Amino acid sequence: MISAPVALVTQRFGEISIEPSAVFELGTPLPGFEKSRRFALLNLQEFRPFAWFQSMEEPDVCLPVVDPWRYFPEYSPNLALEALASLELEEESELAIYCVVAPHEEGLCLNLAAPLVMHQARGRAEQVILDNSDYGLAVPME
Amino acid sequence: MLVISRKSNETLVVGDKIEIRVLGAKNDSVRLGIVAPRDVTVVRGEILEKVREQNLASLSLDLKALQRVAEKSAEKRREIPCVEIPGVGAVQETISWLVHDVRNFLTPVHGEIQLALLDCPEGEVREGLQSMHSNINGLNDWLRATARLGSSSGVVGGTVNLKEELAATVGEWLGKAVVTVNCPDYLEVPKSDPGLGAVLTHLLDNAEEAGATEIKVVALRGERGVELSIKDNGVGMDRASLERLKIPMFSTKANHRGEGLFSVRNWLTGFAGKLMVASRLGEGTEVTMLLGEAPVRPARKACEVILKAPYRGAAHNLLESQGFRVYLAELEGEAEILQRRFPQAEVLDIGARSVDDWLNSPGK
Repeated sequence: MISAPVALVTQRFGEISIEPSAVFELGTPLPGFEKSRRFALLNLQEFRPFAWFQSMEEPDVCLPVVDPWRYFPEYSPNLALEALASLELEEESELAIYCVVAPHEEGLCLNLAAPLVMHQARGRAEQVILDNSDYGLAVPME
Repeated sequence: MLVISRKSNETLVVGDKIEIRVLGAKNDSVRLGIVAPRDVTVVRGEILEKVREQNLASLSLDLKALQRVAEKSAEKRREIPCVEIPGVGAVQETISWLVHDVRNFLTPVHGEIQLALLDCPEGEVREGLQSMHSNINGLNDWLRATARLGSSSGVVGGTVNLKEELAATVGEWLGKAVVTVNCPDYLEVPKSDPGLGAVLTHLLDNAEEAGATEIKVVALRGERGVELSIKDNGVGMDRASLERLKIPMFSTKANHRGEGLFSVRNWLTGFAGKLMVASRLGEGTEVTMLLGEAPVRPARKACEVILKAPYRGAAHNLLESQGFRVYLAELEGEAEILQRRFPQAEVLDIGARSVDDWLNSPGK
């Protein structure tokens, strides 16, 4: 855990200052980025409503993410308690949920099948894979 | 790679906690049963591979495409969800249900609770009921929070200049966020106990707890009375948390907003005011208070009253909140029996006259 803002060099945004409350530790690494264990959630004014999930270990790893309900108001992921065990959670209400944005033909798509589940108070995060759900891995946003 | 051949119903044990059992095979598909501890994720390989592909693809996202979608969504942005917190009557109804009817814990009184939760979607009502049954502590937290702001708050007579009051409070507030105040020079609001300053301080603390760096306090004279809004750029609340603000004892535990706002709501009843909350996760929260006109103070002093009412309801709560000792006569003829027992009590038949009317008339 860090207790004061830290400077971080990123490929996308250059050097930025990270608040301790924006840092999340992953119990299981994100598939594809096994070297990164800590990420910072960056809420930059110019990209809102999108936010960025920036690796603290790999400057070039920075995933665009967004609050899925903004585009899919009916979204209701079934987060099995087992999947949340590593976040040491007792109830869902303490969570923030973001989905990863990826390119899709001319536009963008959201990965609704593997939401990033964040526990802001504890600074833990997890990409939960909703096995057997009806949600797609690349759902067009427009 | 280790290659082992297994027959139907035979097992493989991986480490000391994972067991894989072959349940059967048909054509070219094999059914496996897996026993693993909770913290071990079991996921199909091809799904994991697709998640990996999507994660990697996200890195090469074109910033222009992102900005285009962001702009587009700003254009057709839906109205910010806005929750109007139910009146104190509903809250007290819920609490009195809890206090008086605990013995009926699992009996079908759910209909009454649904009324108290107003228009919550069905799923949330269910969830709320579960938590309510299992978490009386939440109620206690809420009661404590209410006591902190003074549940017996009220208008004490006279007025204060809103601009001076806001400036003094912001000047004394020791938070780190930058607070700007925008208020007309001459805007008088009823004086209350606790004062507006205590309530504002509470809301500023809330905003800072939510990680706000900028807080805007804006006061104006609107159509419905004086409007005071406190807007922050903190973490905000998701829809579920916002919906939960309707339910008094369910604070979003992470930032304790629920209970705080409910005590503010209580305070506002002194002004016949309203509380509205709009919030988006990641963008901030705006709390707007409508400070209505000061109500006429009741002419009748608190006393013992026999309330002729078919069912305990808003009138009962209102009278109790004003300090009246209420004997409830729900059944035919019960009022007369109660009157013999409590000759000093006055009788109020809410079938015959309104509570407000009665309160404003002189007593015995």
